[in-house]
Amino acid sequence: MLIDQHAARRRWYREFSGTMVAFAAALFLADFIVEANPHAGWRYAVALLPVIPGALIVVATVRFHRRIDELQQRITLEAIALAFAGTAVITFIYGFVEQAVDLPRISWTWVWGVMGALWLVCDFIVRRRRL
Amino acid sequence: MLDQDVAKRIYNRWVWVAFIVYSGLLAGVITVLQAHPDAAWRYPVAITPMIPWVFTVAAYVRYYRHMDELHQRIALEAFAFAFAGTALLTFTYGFLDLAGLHRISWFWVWPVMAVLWLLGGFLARKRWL
Repeated sequence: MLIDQHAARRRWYREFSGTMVAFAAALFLADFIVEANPHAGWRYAVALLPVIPGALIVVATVRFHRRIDELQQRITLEAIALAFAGTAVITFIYGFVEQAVDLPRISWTWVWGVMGALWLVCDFIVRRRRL
Repeated sequence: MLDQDVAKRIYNRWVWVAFIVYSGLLAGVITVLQAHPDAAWRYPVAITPMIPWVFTVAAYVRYYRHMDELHQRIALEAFAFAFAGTALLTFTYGFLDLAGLHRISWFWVWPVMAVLWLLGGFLARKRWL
């Protein structure tokens, strides 16, 4: 089957931005509700709301990956592998230094920020090498 | 010229060497840092346990380059699985933290990644081999 790369990419952008908007909305809503009810027993369940659109982002990315050709798949996977290693090193170093000396303890929410940023950088590097 | 099996053995050996050296350095560094909590050199000392892992990563890259296409694909799929799993797990926990659960140090992100990587490798091998 011949897959149109541009169509696949466009579709991914659409699915990705859709889920990101849903994610931002859920984040905002969950934060608002938890702030307003800091002692309610159900606040943990509400705090987990953004995880649903978060999981959909992963689903959208897997769907995109299945539609693209071998070279593109390889580029994506290599970038992810590099970003994975980079995240492990950065979080480990920060966690260790933070425990050893007096740096603030950062919420795990921001780990994803590190992963996403590294993924973008690594994708750029791998693409330059392979294309 | 290395073949795949030799490169794999070298990599496996580096995993063990790094793990042993790392454990020793970690124990040493914790003792030293607790004794000198205000020293200016505490940051560079704090990251010395990472040094042996640099060699392990280099050995892994060499192993990866000597793998055949199928094994490369399995390796990459394992990383992708672990990458997505780590992102979802860490940020799920991040929200529970915002809601009031205990805030865990970033130090513990790495073990989560390692476990998911092993699991991803197992699943990818099951699928392709």
